[in-house]
Amino acid sequence: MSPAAGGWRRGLPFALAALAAAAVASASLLVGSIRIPPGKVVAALLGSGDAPTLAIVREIRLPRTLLGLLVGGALAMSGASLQALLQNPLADPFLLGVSGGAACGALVGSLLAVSSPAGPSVLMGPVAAFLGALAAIALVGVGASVRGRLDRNRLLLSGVVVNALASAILLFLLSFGNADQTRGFVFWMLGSLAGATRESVVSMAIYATGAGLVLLGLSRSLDALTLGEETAFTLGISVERTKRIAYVAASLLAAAAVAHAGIIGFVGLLVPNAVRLVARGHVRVLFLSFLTGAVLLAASDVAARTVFSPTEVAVGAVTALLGAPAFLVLLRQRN
Amino acid sequence: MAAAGTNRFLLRDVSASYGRREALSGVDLDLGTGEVVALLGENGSGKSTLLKLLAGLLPPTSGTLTLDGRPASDLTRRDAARRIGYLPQSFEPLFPASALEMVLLGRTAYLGLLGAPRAEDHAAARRALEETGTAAFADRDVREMSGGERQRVFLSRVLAGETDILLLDEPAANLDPRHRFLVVRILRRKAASGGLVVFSTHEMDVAAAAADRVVLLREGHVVEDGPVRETLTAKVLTQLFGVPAVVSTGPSGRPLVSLAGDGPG
Repeated sequence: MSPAAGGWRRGLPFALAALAAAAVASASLLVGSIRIPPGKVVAALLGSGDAPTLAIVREIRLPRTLLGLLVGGALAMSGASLQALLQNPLADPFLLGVSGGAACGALVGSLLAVSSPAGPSVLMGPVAAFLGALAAIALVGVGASVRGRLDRNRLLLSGVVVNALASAILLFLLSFGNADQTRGFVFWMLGSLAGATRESVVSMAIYATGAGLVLLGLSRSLDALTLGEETAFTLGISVERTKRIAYVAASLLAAAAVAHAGIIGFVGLLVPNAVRLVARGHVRVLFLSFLTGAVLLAASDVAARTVFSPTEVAVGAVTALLGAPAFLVLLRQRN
Repeated sequence: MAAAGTNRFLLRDVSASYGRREALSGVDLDLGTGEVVALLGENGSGKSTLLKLLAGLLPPTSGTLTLDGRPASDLTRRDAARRIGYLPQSFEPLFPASALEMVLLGRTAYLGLLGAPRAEDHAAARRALEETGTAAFADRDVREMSGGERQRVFLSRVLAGETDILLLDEPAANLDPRHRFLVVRILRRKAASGGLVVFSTHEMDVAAAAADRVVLLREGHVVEDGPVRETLTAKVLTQLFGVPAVVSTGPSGRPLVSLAGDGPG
């Protein structure tokens, strides 16, 4: 294969994913419960038009579209990193209970903040969620380790248990909210981009960029880790340091996603497994996972808004409908 | 390649354990450059533990381990990776990767933070694939290969690191006779060019053909250590493995070993 042909073949998935992201973003801006002609949407994006159109396009659709892209990308990147760290292609922030833990953290944080005079800050939500995510990942680790080593086969079981615990805590906490709070929390828990605001987009972008860059910086180490921890060590990798930093960064990505959009499952599982078929090396796997996850979630959100219009379904339900069957296929492939 | 006198592991009264279980005790060894050393012994005798100890994967619980006169733990991870290549006993690849991609990972210690493999890394990987006869399936997914093909690809991954020291845990496992002797030639070549090779095996023919020196282990102790001709004897092998062994001398002057498990010893 000539270098030029190789470059073309290697670049193609990225070009396709970027095109798909642009197409999905356009669709997401154009569709909604209120019909707005494409010309007016473009005009509103550029800052001209009547006040209601401007508000719908710039304050509702644009943040929602961007948040969908960022959250999808963050979840996929988190899943890709967790899979390499745990040497388990079935790892995913949702299945491992990390998302559940983050939701507990976020809920506790917001219950505390609601009763405090200062009120919640949009940037602080992810911090509370992050603490919950770290607690969940620590619990999963305790459940899955045998004589100080992480047992790959116990990992998913342990995740199931932590997930169940997180659900129980969430239901328990919800009993203490008032009716309005509870309704809002339930919709958020199911996974929804409906709460997107400019501020949440900025906050999500900060977390996704920060944690994403950290993970990209560790990509060589993640590559070596796919050969097993002992081999990675003998290839010159600081295995423990890599694992600590990458766990924190991957948890932070998932936690920020949960804080801004609730529990959205399977994006982190499906996307990296598909991406690994066409991209090799974690620089490329992580980057392409981000793009593809962005496309998948934004597209799922367009479907969630339009298929049963005017009823809007939770986007988490859409990704689960796609993801659960695909998870079964992956499970069967693995013997 | 390093000058003579380097690549010398010195072990003095070294013990190692996994948790409370002692896996090696009181080991004294002096392993030097230009040697192929075979580690023989039953399962659980400490062969893999000794290799892990030399690779820095397991710290000694007592005693001293030096490489070229300095504590082996003084080396930075990267420097160690450029000097010592390690092949673990078994590995199940979980993610899609072609043989070439996997072998390129053997160059990790030479790459920058995000740096893609350079031409010289590709050249080293290609050479390593050629050496083990796996260049023809460089682009095939490792997960779809037979056990023997995989084993040769994994060995290529170690060879691509171009280290002076090779620590190989059962490099000839899963291989047919032709490829077992391909491995033998690779080990001999490494030692002839000034390297140190330490490997474990259950195949007596491989040990007899490849090794200059044999270290026999039993229950974590070194029970024999000497030149292959003096150590691979019928009496020693029969004692070590509990099956009758017949040893004669081959045309090259190396021992020819056959273990006859069909009768009492």
